[in-house]
Amino acid sequence: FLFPIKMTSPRMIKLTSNDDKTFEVERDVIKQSVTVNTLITDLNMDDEDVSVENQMAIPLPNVDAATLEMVITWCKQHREDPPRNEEEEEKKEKRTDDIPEWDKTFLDVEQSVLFALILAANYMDIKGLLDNCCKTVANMIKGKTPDEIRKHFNIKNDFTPEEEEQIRKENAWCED
Amino acid sequence: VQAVAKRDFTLGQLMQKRAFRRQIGEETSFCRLPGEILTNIFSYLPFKDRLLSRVSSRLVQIEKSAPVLRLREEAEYRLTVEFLPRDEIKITTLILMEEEWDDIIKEIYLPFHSAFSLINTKIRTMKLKGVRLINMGNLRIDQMEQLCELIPFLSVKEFIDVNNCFNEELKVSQVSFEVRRFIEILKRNKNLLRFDFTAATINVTAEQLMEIRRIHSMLNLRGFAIRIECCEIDEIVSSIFGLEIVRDGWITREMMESGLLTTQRQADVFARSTSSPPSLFRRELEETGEEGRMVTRIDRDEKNPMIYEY
Repeated sequence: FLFPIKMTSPRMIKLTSNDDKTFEVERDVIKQSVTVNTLITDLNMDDEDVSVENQMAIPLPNVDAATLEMVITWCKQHREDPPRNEEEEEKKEKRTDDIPEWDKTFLDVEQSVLFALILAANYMDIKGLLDNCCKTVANMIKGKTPDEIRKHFNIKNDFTPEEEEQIRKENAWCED
Repeated sequence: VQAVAKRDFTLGQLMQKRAFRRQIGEETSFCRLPGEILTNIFSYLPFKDRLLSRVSSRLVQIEKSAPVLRLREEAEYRLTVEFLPRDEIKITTLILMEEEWDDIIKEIYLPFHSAFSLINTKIRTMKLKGVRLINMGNLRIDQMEQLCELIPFLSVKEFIDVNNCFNEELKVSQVSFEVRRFIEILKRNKNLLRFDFTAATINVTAEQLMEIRRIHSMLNLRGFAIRIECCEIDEIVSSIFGLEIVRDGWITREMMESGLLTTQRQADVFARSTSSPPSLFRRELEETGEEGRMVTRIDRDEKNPMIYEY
């Protein structure tokens, strides 16, 4: 006997960026975003009877299309990652040399793009992406002098010379 | 119906609300990153790099985590060193304003020995000007002995906050022993004018607290304070004083007059070596007409109740 096999296509979720571009993404992929995941659950959007065409898109008013596309790419890459245990993560040593190679390459972008990704990851509550972005920025700061940090991030020195001298004095002990 | 209503009403609004809460700025420069993200970034930096990055900009320095706080001339920095049960040290940089204080850099963790070595070297060579307070929470007795070696090198203005020293697993006799040792160690340091001895923390039982109080009164440690900080504060304070706590958050003056209760605020004021209360408290006193009278209030935060004294 041949039994008909029901082919189930992956459940899709619609996300809309702040510049009105809509992305369809697999439910399984976007579950890494706690914000989106919670919304989907809270709003019963997992209802299989609702087709993707009739589904309401989730607006992401703080994420532009280019960034959202990157977020989705990251989520796709990490869809098989085991779920994070925040307690375990808390206990872990804080280090920056454990960024996966794929992420290193992926996050090797202009600062403005990286910061936009950080903001999006923060907004969408994607801890893995946020952590790796923050580690990347931390690596940029490591070993730099205040002047080098300013130059690297284009930070305006808003201290008066007197204030700066005072702060330098306060922190002189760590500049050995 | 509920689901539909929820969906109709909240989908866009929820996300907008969240966007607002996340305080995401329009620009995406480093200084525009929200404080919580800067904190996250800094948490990956070694101590030295964190301090150096503070020097880069006022904005970075305050991490924007408390937008009200801006570096002012009257701001005072404190480096708090806290000892944790896992043999680690948490170093927190505090910015102390005239009326309020908040942490600007949170929680970096170092193993005890490396942090002790760093502090030791820096204090001994008189380079660590920023240390104004050492919080010896969760410190083991041997670690405390090590740290106490440094006290003579600190300014007389320093005070030591000993908290979380005890837990419910300690027998009363052990509590008694530990209290004596702590006090003896601290008394050896003549430079130390006072320390804030937090006898009761979340896990201290009423029985243990009674023992601490007994030793405290037996040793007649005038000038030494005990601060009560305990989730079961109603029960414990009641058991000691036989008093009922007024439910609106105020407790009776008799408690203060017993000499047993003092507060973190008092210790803070003391640490700043000022004879007059900070303006915040002064203003509140004026508003409540309580000038010249000592009143005490319990902040009924369930997780971390504190007694404040005005």
